[in-house]
Amino acid sequence: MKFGLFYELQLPKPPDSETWDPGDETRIIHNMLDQCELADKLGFDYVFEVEHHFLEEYSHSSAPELMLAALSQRTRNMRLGHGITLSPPGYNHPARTAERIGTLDRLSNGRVEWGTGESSSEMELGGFRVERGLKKAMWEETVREMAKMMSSEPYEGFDGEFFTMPARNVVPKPIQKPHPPIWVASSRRETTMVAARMGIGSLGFAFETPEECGERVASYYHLLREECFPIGQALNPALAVLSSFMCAPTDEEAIRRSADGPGFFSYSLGHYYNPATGPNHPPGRANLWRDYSALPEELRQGGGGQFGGFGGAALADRGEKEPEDEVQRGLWRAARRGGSIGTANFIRDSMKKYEANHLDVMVFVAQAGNRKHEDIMESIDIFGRQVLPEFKDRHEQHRRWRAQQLQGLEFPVNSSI
Amino acid sequence: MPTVEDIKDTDLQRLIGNAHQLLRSGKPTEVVRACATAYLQLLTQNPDIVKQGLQAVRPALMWPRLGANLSLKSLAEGKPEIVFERERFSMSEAITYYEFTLESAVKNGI
Repeated sequence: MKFGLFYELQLPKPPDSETWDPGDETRIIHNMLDQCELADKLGFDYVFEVEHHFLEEYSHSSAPELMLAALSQRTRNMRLGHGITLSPPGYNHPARTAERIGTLDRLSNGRVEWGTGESSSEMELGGFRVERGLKKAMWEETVREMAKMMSSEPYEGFDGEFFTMPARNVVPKPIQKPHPPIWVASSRRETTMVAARMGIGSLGFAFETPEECGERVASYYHLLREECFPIGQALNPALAVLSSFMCAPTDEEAIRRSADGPGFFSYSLGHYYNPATGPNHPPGRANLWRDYSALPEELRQGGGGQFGGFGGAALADRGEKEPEDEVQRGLWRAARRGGSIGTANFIRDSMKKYEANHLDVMVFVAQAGNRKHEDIMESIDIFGRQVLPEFKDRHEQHRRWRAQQLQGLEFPVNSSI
Repeated sequence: MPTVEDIKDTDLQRLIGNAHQLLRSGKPTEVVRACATAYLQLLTQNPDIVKQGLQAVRPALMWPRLGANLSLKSLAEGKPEIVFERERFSMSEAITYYEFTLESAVKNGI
């Protein structure tokens, strides 16, 4: 099993102010570069960075291609993952995305992971006038065509339902042939099954348990073998999941340093994605951190009940019972301790369970809420020195298991697992 | 992993099995139509799912809104209906509808 870091670039507002301090955004951007540089030196395999727009406090990562370009010059081995690029043409013209991916792959000497997706927050869809009901069809059309743009010389052009362009040679082409590994953001099981049937990696945002991972891995590889209609020019068989992460010398210290990171992550995510609150967000006039901090402790640790509007059932499901709906459940789990907040031993035992279930990549959410940069750096350092090496030693076993799963597939594979 | 064979109701198993065959044949629009037929039958024959869902929306009623949309008004009137706002569907949409329909049947023990 491999390991990565995941970045939203969260930036809570100061509680007593309507805006950030002048240096705050600069600080988190440079902190991320420092954290990834350290992680790269210690052998972390991936960084995945989101693309989000207008989701103030929750995510200030609107230009991940710039961050990853900077990281290409400060890291040597780490794979540089878009987690994800927004694919509907209203956000990014497909040719522009293909050009950026090609350029980043050249800059990084072939280290790009090309995550794709749509987002479902009204702030983003509405902000770019992307029609919600069509976003999945847009995703499919553009990803298929972008893969061709990166691999065809010239690209023959396209007259589609959602975008049209004449024949052009889209340059530069990526180093990786036919194109970098493709992923899709999966916050529901259904989308993981889409990934399997389209031959691409599933970047799971549902904070799945090891047992759920085991079930998904089995389904995924079965569908990949039996029912796959590849969307790209090469397969990327891979499953990744997220987990809140803070490693420290003692469990108590890890929980203390984790602070309100998971709670605010879940609260602010819920705020923007909840159909009851997301569309009503007042741009530039809210202070989510202040609202979150005013909640009683038990509500903060549950993400503030922000998942309430997703299905209505949520309010009844709040408390210790896991919500029935998968997206709500993911938020509920994101707010809690989970298996990656603790000592090196605690996290090692937890990760072994995922490894036993043949998970390909565990992606840690370290930067969240009000967590301190110094604590995140030490967390990466402890894990990288005390836990990561043994998983690297065992990865060859996983590769052999994967090779068995992929036996007989005739389509080309380009995967970094 | 829920499978068609896990569905107990033989009529529903046949309908969802048909959707699965269409999916394997790469016919996404037909898959969505077949799933809509199956899902409406599931709701019609299991009114408790609708009743509970109207009190507090449950996952079984969160049919994806990707152009074949479940009419909430029709649910309240006791005659579930899916309104097709598009004529063609993509493969990823078809898979989404198929997986949702299959899981709804299996998770509800139907």
